[in-house]
Amino acid sequence: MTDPKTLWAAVSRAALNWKLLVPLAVALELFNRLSPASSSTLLTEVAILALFATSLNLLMSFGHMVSFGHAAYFGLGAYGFTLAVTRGGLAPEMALLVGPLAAALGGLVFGALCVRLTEIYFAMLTLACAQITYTVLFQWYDVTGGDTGITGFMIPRLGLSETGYASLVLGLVALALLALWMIVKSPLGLMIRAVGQDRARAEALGLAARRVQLVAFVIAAFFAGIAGTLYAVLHGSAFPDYAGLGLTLDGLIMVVLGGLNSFAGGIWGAVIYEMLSNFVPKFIHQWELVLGLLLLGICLAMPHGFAGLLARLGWRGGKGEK
Amino acid sequence: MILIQLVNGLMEGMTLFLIASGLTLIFGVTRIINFAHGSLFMLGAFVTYELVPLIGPGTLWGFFAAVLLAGLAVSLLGMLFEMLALRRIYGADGLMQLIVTVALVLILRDVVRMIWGPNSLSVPMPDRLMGALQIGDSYFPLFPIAVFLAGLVVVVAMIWVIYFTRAGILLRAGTDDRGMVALCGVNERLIFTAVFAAGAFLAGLAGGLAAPYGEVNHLLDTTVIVSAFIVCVIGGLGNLYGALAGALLVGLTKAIGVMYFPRLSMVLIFLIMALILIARSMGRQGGTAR
Amino acid sequence: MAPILSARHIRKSYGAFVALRDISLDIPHGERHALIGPNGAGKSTFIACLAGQLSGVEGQMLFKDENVAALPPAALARRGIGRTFQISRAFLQMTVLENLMAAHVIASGRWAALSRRIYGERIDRAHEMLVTVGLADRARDRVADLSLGDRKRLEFGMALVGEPELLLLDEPTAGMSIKERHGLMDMVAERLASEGRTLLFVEHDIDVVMKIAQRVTVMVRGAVLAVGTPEEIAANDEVQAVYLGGGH
Repeated sequence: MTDPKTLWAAVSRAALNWKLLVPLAVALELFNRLSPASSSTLLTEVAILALFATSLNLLMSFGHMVSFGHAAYFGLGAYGFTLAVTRGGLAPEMALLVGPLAAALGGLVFGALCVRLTEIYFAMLTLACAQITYTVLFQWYDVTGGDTGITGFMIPRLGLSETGYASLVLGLVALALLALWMIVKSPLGLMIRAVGQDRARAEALGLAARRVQLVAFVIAAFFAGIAGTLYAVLHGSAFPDYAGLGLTLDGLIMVVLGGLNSFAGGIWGAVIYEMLSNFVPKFIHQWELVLGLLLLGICLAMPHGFAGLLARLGWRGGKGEK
Repeated sequence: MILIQLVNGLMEGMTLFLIASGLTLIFGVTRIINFAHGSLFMLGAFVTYELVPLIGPGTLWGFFAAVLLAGLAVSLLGMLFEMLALRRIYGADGLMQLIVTVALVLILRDVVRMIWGPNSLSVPMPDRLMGALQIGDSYFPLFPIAVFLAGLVVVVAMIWVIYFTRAGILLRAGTDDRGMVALCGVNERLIFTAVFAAGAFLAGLAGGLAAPYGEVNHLLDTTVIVSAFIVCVIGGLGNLYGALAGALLVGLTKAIGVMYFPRLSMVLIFLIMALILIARSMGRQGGTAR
Repeated sequence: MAPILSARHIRKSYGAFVALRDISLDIPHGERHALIGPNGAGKSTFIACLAGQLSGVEGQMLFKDENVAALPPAALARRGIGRTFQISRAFLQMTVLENLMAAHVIASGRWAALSRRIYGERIDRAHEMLVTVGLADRARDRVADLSLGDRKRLEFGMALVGEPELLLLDEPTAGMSIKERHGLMDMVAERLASEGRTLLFVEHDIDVVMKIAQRVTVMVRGAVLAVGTPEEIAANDEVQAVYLGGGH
């Protein structure tokens, strides 16, 4: 049993299935190469959102921290990148690094505050932090351009074709998802899960729960920042809405649609959500109405369905004791 | 100028309290955070917009009657939502309950957009409240004072209901211990529905009262819910007096902060909230005592 | 022998309700000490105080001559106070092995989080512990699928991973059959005795207390009624009247 490979399988029930993933990656790339440019852009957006949703899922499914303000770090990534180009005078290629770092820094500052609270208060405070970020981006005209955002500062997609940029993003997102997966399976991931499942138990074992939560929060912010940066590059622009409540809710909905408590939940959710949001409005104008009814239907049809971890633990809010 | 802002701040604080108290009441009894509470506020404003011209445009009684009716209409909707949706997921986990209320946010926003369109509307102020009250050399705008007083009436009524009526006793019992209510021989479901209806009524009322003093549009829901959350974080959920203090603090800070940092008054509120949180978590060690 | 734990004048109240009134208790190194008393006596509250779970506790708590009264749970655990909970609280959605590995990772300090090497280094010890607590064949099962007794065993194993000098067990045998109770507590006593660790446990089963404990403290309504060897306690009229004779 000392063989690390056996252990790998023992500690992590589901290991990465390379036989499945490699053909999937090849198929995606082939699709990207063979399909029209508009499909490549859609593919790029799906990949970016999948990364964003998965970074949120790290907090939700494993750390049991429901963030209601995750878009803030997407927005900070986009604006960190954009401002590094427009204000810092960096070449866009160099500025790519600034976005995720700005998001991580934001995650550190807000996270230090938010992890002081638990459960519903945590959710409320993350929401407040995100709205502050949004307000600053929206109202600080001199620096952020306010509600008109910042546009025209670079050639979108770093001058690559739609297809070329899609390949780049697919590669980067794949690497980022792999990194997130490694984190979940690392001892740190075990600590994050331990705090998420029973904070008091983890503390009684000697774990500084808040510190672990903060680390998780910063990691999630960093990866959301990568997604935000890639998105800003895709469109060559940054708008306050990137940090808005709308995107936060989209992320939450993706995780719920895709299924909580699984690493792939965020990825599936992003795919389903993007498909629906491109498809439904062709028939009905009221996309939010449809989405709301869909969510309502899912929650009512299987209130306990995919909530395993969250249902049994933590959010004892409900009527768990009944 | 500062005095005018003071009055405006009091008014905003009072509306915020009406919303936050509804949130807090609902949370206290059902353990559900109603993310759609801002949407109910918004709906109250829109219904008031419809009713004012019908009942008595420009008149004082017409306005308040419209607001009251709007509150009742929103309350009815909240009741329906509770009975059709929330009731079925009381046993589920908190996240699922939150998502259900988020679904209501999305639905209501599109419905409002369908009926009233995407542009901001304005509700006319009653003629009698247009002017200002002169005390010494200072002028106080009448409308915010009237809203504040109306809110105060609601607060007093609420305290009376909670502390001196049978319903209030049941409510407090339900907040402390859900088993108690069943022991008292009262249908628990009825209490949940009633509390949700009451909370929705307060939100609708607040929306109607505040409607003439700003723009009425489909973006109100999120701005309002965020402020209400901040109030709840400051005051503590399930704590009515905390909500009152928090609401007045946020309202006044917003109004007065606007004078000095016109664009960043929200940031100021955030800083205050951060300070309060840090002070509170330093006060208790460990932070996870349950 | 110098006490490993010395609680002095511990008081804790919830509003007007005084849960603990002036508790003083010395526990020598290596002793197995039982805490008994009727429901509501404050036993679990006292354990929670010792584990740093409660705020607003008055009094002094000396652990190895250091006042640790104001420290949070994690700091106490790192100083060598381990505990289990009255209601079993292993990590339900993890496997049994993952639970133990989580305990290992946590016990190894913060840098362990950065490298997966610890998995390889500690896996044998985790398996040994599973054998010790009798869960060797359940390693891959989720804790949620375990019986109550097995969860309690697992929790005990997790608490031992941190090699605590003082172990606090809050009703370790609650909800178990008589046979299971004695099995678990015999195993606990043997293991702790061989390693020279100190034990403070809350227990309702008097037979288990008499067999395992070297000294017993009886608590009633938030105060200490009597302290002594099991024989002394059994012979104490006051204790008989309040507790043992109370048909409990």
